[in-house]
Amino acid sequence: MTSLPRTPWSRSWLEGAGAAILLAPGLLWLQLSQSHVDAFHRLLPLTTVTRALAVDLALLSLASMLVIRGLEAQGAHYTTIAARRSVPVPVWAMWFGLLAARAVAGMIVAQVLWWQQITTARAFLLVAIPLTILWLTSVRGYDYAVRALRFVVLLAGFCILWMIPALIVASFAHQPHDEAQFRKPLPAVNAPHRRIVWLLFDEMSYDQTFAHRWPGLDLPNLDALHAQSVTFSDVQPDGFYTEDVIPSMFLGKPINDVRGTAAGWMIYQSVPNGSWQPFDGNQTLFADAQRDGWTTGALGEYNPYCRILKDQLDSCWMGMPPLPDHFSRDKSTLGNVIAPIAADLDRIAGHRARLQAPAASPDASPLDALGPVRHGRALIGDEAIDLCFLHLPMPHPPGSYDRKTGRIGASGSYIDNLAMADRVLGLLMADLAKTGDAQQTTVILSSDHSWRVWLWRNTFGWTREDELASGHGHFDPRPMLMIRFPGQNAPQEISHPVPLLGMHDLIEQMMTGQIENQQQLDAWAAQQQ
Amino acid sequence: MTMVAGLSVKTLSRIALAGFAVFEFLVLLAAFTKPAYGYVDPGSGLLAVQVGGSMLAGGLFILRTKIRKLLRMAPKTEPKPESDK
Repeated sequence: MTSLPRTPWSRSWLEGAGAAILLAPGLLWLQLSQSHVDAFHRLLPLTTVTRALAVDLALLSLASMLVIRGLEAQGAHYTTIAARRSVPVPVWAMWFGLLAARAVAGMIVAQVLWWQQITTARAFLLVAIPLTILWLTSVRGYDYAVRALRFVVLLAGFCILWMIPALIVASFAHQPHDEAQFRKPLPAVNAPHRRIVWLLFDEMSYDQTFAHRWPGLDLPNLDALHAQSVTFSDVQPDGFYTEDVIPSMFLGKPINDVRGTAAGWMIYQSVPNGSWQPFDGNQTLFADAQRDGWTTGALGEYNPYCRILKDQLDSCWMGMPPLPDHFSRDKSTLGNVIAPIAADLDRIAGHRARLQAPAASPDASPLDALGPVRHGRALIGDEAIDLCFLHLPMPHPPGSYDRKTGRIGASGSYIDNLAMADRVLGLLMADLAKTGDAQQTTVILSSDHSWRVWLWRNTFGWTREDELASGHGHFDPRPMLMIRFPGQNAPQEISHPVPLLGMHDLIEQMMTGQIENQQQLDAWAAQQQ
Repeated sequence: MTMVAGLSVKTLSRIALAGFAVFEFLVLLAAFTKPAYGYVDPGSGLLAVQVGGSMLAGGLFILRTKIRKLLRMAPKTEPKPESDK
């Protein structure tokens, strides 16, 4: 058996480019996506990040080319089958295992993969072990397999011819510089006045909260509110994705799909295959509230509220997902070029991100470590804001709370998160009770959709408790909706179907004083059938 | 036996292999990222088509000579004129 022939440099470069694409940070795929969903859900601008990705890809392709040439040179020393068997490790098997592992890691970061069965370690083993077995049993077969895989990687290398130009074009997009938080100056409040506090708990299921609660699960704050509220037990969902449902409630019309533009603005489709329309903040209930003389505030994670409702909100805070691999909009291009190396070093050293410790005040809670809770308490306490919307990221999976210890962590079940939502509700209601307007405040507790068992089952973070609580995968589509009017102290249930989309109309009528008590709400609900 | 800096080529080669194994182990450690949780980017389908299309086009480009031969599209050789005989 002769050694593999040395390939021309151009071919080596293409192969190196293919390897670089597989080794590159997962963010690469999100930045190349034509949906611009990633730009929509991040703090902008991302231009230095995109530019750095182009540089990283180019540098990685050169480095990979040198590695490939090195491996080839290495192979040249082992020219016979006996000599090739005497090599300490089948280096190409390791190389392709590494490419597979990094590619899977990238796809996990890019959220293309999230099945718990597919992990980086398994990807490595799935590629490296069969090749090693082949090397042990048939060196000739191993050589053929290596050639075939090198050819596939080389073909992938052709993608670099459009990927780098696409990244360069994207890096010149005109993106705004987001303010993650703002509070506009407002006149001081002198007398108690009407307020509406809308608490939206992401993915809270009516079924899990009230209809079929996990045995022994204690939800005292939800029960207390339930005992003083009108509860809708058959709310018809408007959709199953936060980015669709929440803007649809703001606009009062259905949204089928949401995407971003290169500049980070929101565009949406009302019906499948319909035309894409730009989101117009002036058509939302916040704009209507301001026209009615109300002041407005909103906060939440994932949706860029402070960008898309900048002119319609007087107070805002948004928590956007941090960029992976130490990339940051605040770093220079060079800083972002070396960011993935620092991220890799951190991962090797086992460093993890830490939550912000809550401020040391008498009212502080460990849950204040969560941005939406900390800022949500401040928003509720700000009596100058009449319409407050709080999008709280719980009990959205994965589990991140231990209901036994009351500590935030990296594990837990949906049931744990439901307990966390209850504790957060307790904090918010206590803060609300301290305001001078508490007796004139209407509280709305809703969710955007129910617990999407079909989405989370078999993904990372699905627990045995989740499996049992869901009745082995049973999905109940009913989201939450409870309304407590000022002075209400008895429960009431509305059991006929009411569309969640109707909340837009409901809140508009509350602001104009058309719905101020249970009887008026009953009449409104009857019209929704 | 060829010697480089007092070491045989075979020894150097083994040291290089061991170095590669250590490097790979470190890179692999870095690949064990924290799992992400979320939704599929709706643009990922189009991206997959773009990647697949690029690979197909690249394959056709690399194998163009063999494909021509397979389809008998190789340029015909002109019959030599009588006078050349």
